Amino acid sequence: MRIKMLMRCTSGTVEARESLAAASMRLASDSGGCLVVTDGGRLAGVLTPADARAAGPSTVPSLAVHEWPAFTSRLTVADAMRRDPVVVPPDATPGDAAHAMRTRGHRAAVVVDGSEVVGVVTTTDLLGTLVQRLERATPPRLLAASTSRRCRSRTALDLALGIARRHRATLTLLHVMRGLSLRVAEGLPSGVDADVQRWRLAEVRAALIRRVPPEDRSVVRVEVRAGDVVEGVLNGAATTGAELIVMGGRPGASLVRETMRRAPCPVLAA
Amino acid sequence: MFRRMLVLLDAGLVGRRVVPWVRRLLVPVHGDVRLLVVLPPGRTVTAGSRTLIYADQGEDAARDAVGVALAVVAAQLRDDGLAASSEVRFGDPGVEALEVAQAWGAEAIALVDVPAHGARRWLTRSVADEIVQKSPFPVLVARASGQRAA
Repeated sequence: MRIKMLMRCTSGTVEARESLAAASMRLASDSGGCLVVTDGGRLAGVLTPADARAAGPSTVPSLAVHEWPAFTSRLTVADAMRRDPVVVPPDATPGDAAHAMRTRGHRAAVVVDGSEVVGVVTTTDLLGTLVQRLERATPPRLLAASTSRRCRSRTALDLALGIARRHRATLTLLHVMRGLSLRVAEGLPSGVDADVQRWRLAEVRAALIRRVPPEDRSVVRVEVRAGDVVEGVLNGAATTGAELIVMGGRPGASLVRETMRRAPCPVLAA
Repeated sequence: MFRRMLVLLDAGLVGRRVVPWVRRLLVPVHGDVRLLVVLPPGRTVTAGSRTLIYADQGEDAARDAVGVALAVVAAQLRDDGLAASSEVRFGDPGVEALEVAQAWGAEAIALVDVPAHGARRWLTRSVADEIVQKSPFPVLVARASGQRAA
């Protein structure tokens, strides 16, 4: 990974003598969150939202609200910018840039190719790379949600087992089944409906365990719940900290669609 | 298990949110990724009897603009050891995505579900819904916001 793959295009250039208030407004509307400051065409510094805030009036002292504009209008970009910015070439590694920024306490580095400014890279960008590396080093947590014992759910389970094997991921096989229908429950003597429900859960659990090859059983947890299917899957994802839900079901079924809309992580619909 | 994945992106590349997941799933098998952006068909713009822009000119300009952003995403994927290619098409995203997936031999499709707002939510069908319903392959769907990233 090189900085040229990571950098943002120069989101804006501002002259050092320009008003800080105007530059702050540009920063607020700029997702890049960093302006390159020039002075007579030469690179003079960088301005981040934190730099602009630090140079402005404190929110604590006794300045009245109407006095703030008078105070801030006197400030220029040169008063707030970080002079002598960290400059890195496009072929530098994120590690080089992070090291230089950390050593000098800067939040952004300017990417310069020859004498031309081609982009900026901020701590947020570098943090994104760090997160990716950390997550690559950690096996993902998968949740395979099965809503029926039909063919599609089996495909989803096989797919989830394949991914888990390939990534050495921890996998939770979750089957959520609806409770007994009122008509059935009412026809049963008191207490028997609960026994029937427990028997159904145990039967499904045993069937799911049988589907897991013996060599995978150490990394696969099987869980069976009763209740609303979508809520059950979402709760299962939350409690297992799932990073990916693999779900079977009729294509376009409302259960799959609803889960996709509300899931805390991506859903792989098989 | 799949190793060829079609990634459907939008013009603003909001769909890039799904790319880290694609990378995570495919890097261990040195997978193959095809990035696809489907844009609305170009329209000829006229002023009175004068033609200002022909449809194909508009499409070429849009293809060039999106192509630059796609090239960056593809280069990042190649940097991780994946084979990556990109394509820009014009038409209906659901139809085109399934067509490209079939023709290219994709084994899975990845996309970000960008929900419509207001009345459009009730009047239009989301591309993700359409693809999940019609796709013969597994479909990886991430949300545009409010979801953990890979």
